[in-house]
Order: sequence, then C-alpha cells, then structure tokens
Amino acid sequence: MSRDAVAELVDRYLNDEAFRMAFARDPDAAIVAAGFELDSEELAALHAHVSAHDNQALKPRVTKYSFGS
Amino acid sequence: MDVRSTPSFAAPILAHVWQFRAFSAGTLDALAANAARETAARGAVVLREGAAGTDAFVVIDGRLEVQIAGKSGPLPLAVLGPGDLFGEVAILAGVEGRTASVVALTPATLLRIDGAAFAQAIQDDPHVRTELEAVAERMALGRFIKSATLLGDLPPGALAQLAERVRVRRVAAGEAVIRQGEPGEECFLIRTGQLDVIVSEDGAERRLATLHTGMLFGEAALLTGAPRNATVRANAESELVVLRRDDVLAAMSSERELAEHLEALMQARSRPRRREGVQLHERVTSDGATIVTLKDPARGKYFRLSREGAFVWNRLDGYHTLRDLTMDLFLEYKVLAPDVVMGVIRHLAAEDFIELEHLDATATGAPSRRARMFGALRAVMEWSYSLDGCDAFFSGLYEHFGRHAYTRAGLAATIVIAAGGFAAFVAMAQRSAGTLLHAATVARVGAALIPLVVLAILLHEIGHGMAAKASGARVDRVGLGWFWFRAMLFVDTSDAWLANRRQRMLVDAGGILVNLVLAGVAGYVALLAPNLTVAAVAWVFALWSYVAVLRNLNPLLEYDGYYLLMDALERPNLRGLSLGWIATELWPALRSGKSLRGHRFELFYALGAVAYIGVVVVWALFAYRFTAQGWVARIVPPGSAPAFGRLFAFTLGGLALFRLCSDVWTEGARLRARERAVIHKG
Repeated sequence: MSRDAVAELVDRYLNDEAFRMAFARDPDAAIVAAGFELDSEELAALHAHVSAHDNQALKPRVTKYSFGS
Repeated sequence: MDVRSTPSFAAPILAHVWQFRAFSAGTLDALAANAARETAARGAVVLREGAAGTDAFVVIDGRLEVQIAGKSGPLPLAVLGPGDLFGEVAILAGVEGRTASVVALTPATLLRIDGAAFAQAIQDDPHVRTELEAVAERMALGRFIKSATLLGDLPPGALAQLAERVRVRRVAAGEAVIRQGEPGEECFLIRTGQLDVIVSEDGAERRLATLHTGMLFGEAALLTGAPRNATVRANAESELVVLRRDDVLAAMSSERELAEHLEALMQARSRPRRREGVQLHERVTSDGATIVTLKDPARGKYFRLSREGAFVWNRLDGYHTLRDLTMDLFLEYKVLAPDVVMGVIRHLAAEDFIELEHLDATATGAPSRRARMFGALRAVMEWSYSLDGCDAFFSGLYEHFGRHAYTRAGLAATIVIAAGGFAAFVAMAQRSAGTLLHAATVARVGAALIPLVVLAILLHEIGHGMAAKASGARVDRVGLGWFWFRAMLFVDTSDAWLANRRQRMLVDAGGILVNLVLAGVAGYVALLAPNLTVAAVAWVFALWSYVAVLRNLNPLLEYDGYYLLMDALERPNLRGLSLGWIATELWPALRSGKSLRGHRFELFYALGAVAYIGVVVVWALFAYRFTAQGWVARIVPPGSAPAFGRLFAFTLGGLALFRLCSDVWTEGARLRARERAVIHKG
C-alpha cells in the first residue's frame, strides 16, 4: 500500500473544495477524475463501512409533562 | 443569423466602444469599411468555444452571455450589452479557436468586424493593443476563477467585478509568499505552479501540505484577523491571483455558500484542540459494541462518537492536523475516510466541544427569513424557565424514599398495586358512571380533581428523577414553561445518555410507572370508599391517569413514549433524523425512483406523524360534540354550534401540522448543514 498516494489524496481532499464536493457526490468518480490510482487495499479502505450518523450531538433528554394531557 | 450589407453608420458605433477610444478617425473608418451588421435570435450561439474564427463583434442592442464549458454544463462568465466588444481575444492571442462561447439572451443586433482588418488596426496602434490585452487578461482571469476555483459559483456580475480588482503575482521557486506569524490582508489563488505549506515548531519545519493549481491559501488570517498560521513557499515557479480582504468579503456577500466553503477550507487545514473539562465515557453494549459519549459538565452537553470518532477525539491536541488524523486513522483501522474525519471535526466544533477557527458572524451573513420566522415562533411557543443544581435534592429524595421502589420488593409492589388497581377500576366503572350522572356530583368531582392532577404531574416528573438516580444519572435541572399552548413541568435527565439501554428505558418509564401506581391506588379507593362522591373522584382520577399514560406513550411527540422507542431501538435523535430524512431525501428518492426499502422506519415515522394530525382533528371533533357542543349551542345562533366544533378541530390540526412542518424544516436544515461536510458510507 502506497502511503504517498493516500497522503496526496487526503491533501487534495482537505485543500480543494471542488474535489471535496465531487468526492461527497461520488468518491470513486472523483478519485478517477482527479487522476489518483488506488490499489485494491486502498479502495477497500475507501469503501470501509463508517457510519457518520454515529458521530452526533445528543439532544437534551427533557422528560416533560404538559397540563393539557 | 441574418447578415446584411452595412451602410456608413458603423463608424459612430465603433467610436463609442471604449477600447477603441485611442483609435484615430482614419483607423475607425478603416474598421467601419470592413464591418457588417447582423442580427441574432434569442438563444443563437454567436461564438462557439473551440470553433475557428477571428472576427470581432460589437453589441448594438440586446444582451448576450459569455460562457465556458463546465463539467456539468456551460458556466456563465459575463453578460454583454450595447457598446461591449467581444471576439477580440482570438486575434490578440493569435489563435484560431474561440476561448469562450457567446449566446444571445435576447434578440440582438451586432456589428461584425473582419478579423484581418481588426488585426491590422491594432498592429498600427500599439497603445490600443496594450489596452485590449489588459482586457483580455481580465477575461482570462475571470475564466480561471470561474472554472477552476471555489469562487466559481459567483454570479457573473460579481465575478467580473472581482476579476477587475485582483492582481497577478509571479513567484520564483523557493520564494515565500506568506510567513507564519505575520498579519495577513490578502489571500491567493494558485493559477499555475505548486507551493508547500510549512509550519515552524520548536525550531524545526514541518510540511503540512502541497498546494496545486486552483487551490486557495492565506484565507484563515484574512477572515479571522489572526496572524498567518503557516508559511507558504513556492516549490516551483508559480503564478498567483491575489485577492484582498474587502474583495473576498464582497464576494461572500454575493454568494452565501462561499462563506461556508471558505469556513470548511479553513477548518480542513486547522489543528483542532479539545476543550478543557470535557469527559469521555465508554460503555460496551450487550452485542459487544463500544459506545463512546462525551460529556461537557459545565454546559450539560453530550456527544456520541463512533469508534473512528473516538480515535480522532483522542488526538485533538492542537498539534495534529486533519491530514495527520486521516492518515493515522487509515494506518490504524484501514479506513480511508477524510470526509468522516472532517465531519467529526466540524460537528464537534459546531457543538463547541473543540476549539476551531470560525468565520466572523458578519462574514457568514444573516440567517434566512424562514429561519428567523421559525426561530421566533419556537421561542414564543416553547418557552421554559429552569432551575439548575437540583441533583442534591433528587439524591436526597432517592436515598430516603425512592430507592425502596427500585428494589425487587418495590417493583413487585408496584406491579401488584397497578394490576389490582386496574381490575378495581374496571369493576367500578358502572357504579361510578351512575354517580356521575348527577350534575352536582360532577361539579364536586371536577373541583377535587384539579389538585390531584397537579400533584400527579409533579409526582410523574419526580418519578423520572428517581429512576434517573436509580440508574446512576444526575438530574441537574428542573423547570416549567409552556409547550405549544400547554403549561408543562419537566426534568432534564440528559445524564442518562451515559447509562445503558435498560437503565435509560427505566428513566423513560419512571413517570408512567408513577401514574400507573397512582391510578392503581385510586382504583382501590374507588372500590373501597363508602362515600360515593369520594369513590367517583378516585375513579375519574384513575381514568385521567390511564389516559395520561396512553398519551405519554405516543412516540410521535417528544414525550415518554418517544424516548422509550428511541432507546429501545438504540437510535439517538430518532425524531430529528427521521424528519430530517423526510426533508432532504424523500422527494429526490421518489423523483428518481430510488428504492425506499432502506428507509422504511423514517417513512413509517413520517406517515405516523401525519396520521397523528388526522387523529387530533377527529378526536377534537368527537370531544367537542360529546362535551362542549351542548353548552355552546345555548349561546351561539341556532344551528351554528357544529361549525364551532369544526373550527376548533381544524385549528388544532392546523397547529399540529404547522409544528410538524416547522420540525421537518428545522431538522432538514440541520441535516443539510451537516451533509455538506459529511457523506454516508456503507
């Protein structure tokens, strides 16, 4: 696995807003269009399951009772 | 396109083209002799990008748009009107291919100038050539900004204005453009070349990133007023477009999203640091998954992190960049997710769990009118006043009384009282109904019921607090207020986010258990009381308690049933995420024919929320008909009492619908803001 290729991709993601938006729409297409070549292991890492919804602010738990009940 | 022979009217038109003001009368006459008038219909392509041609044009009347090809269609660069010159760039650059397309926005009349005659004219007058080259350079800068940078979404007018005001700077390899620690009033777009971002720490230099064509740098100091946080040095001969602070702010006011892009860029290059005092709690679920929750005790805020989120959190020391974090995550877990790292950082920053640079509020612009309207409405409809520092009170109450209820014996007693009391309530239904047929009894029962209901609501909230203490959670806040036309009491059991699922569900059910016990006791009283009025009061109170339990179990509003469902499913913020999905993804999915199979739950929740509004209307109609209609009929014109009922029911339904729409919009806006930085994988 080439760490340099991955680092270059990460650099591009963090510094190029247009690439970042393209990556958000379709990571594979954005990577190909930008000329990056990832090997199978790197592609597997790119597609690894990560749920962004697990990172979230938790709303206050306010157990309320209204008088109209 | 209609081409006709040109009379001598061309000379005065050419004399009004400002680029030609230095031409002699003879030169203008020579150009006029080689010019022809022509018309273009709306939508006609006068010049096509890449096509051959050297003729220049002057707009006599009408409007035309200069466009360049973009990945997803033509990008507008500028709008031309009477007196504007176009098509001269090919002659100046000495190329055959057009560098942009020009399309008629309205029917237009043009003066076409023969390319050879135009070339001869500017060859005879170097001063005009220089002026035209400057204009062509501005156009080229506009094209570059439009097609290759994050400023590309600016409207044509703002883009043209910006291109007028920027300047170009060329730097040699090894030359520093900005230096760490210096103040900054300019930022830079890389037109050609390559530059390194370098930070000096403890006397040593560290390269943070290498920047290429189209990228922007220097924006952080410009937008925050802080000194430059890094040095940027050319590692090859480079050409930069220099933007001044005022011009960037003007561009941001023209294009709202630009502020968001710039903030995202600034944060992507930051080195975030955890806020002091935030605690990290870990627990393992029954299926072996580790759940990490952050708690900020000072603000009473909580944040849930995934495995990857926790990994990132532990490295937010003000030293690691997002690049470091993404690479560390990749090497540790074989997960390549710059989007997730950035999403975690931005979301933590939005909730103030980390220190991160933000744009000044004046730079981001005022919130939209709709946001202000919903915000103001919520402030009026959902007001509350709370008392902090109540945990000691609840702890004391729990130690002396509450803890007995959460022993095996206590729970067994609860079940016996609730079940036996319910049986008594059912058994006494007929007798109590008979007692309540007397109007005098109804009035006495009503008067006795009011303090009992108030006491029951108070005990309901204390029940939540006791359950929270039994689960090891703090209860730091109690309060009162109103919630959509209803007065309310509440306790804040947010600390239960740190508890396991069973404990959280116990906290959710704590109030309902109290209601069931009270209803059970009332059922026994109704059965055993010798006085018929006392028995009737007890029975009606039990009835009210059971209705209250059922209403609290409704998961479609944020009452106890909602929390029970959310915790049972282990889906925090269930309502917000479901309504946010409805706002952002349902319509696009329906339009594109995408399967909704993966979103059944969100769909079910939304349909339930809409169906609930229908239930409210039907319930109100029935309740009015069987309780108030008779009274209303005595004071309103004959025959109009049912209409008042319909008005009442549809007003209630309308308010419920308005609230649902407000929630959908608010959650949708929240989710969209988050989606801009995060994508969902898997």
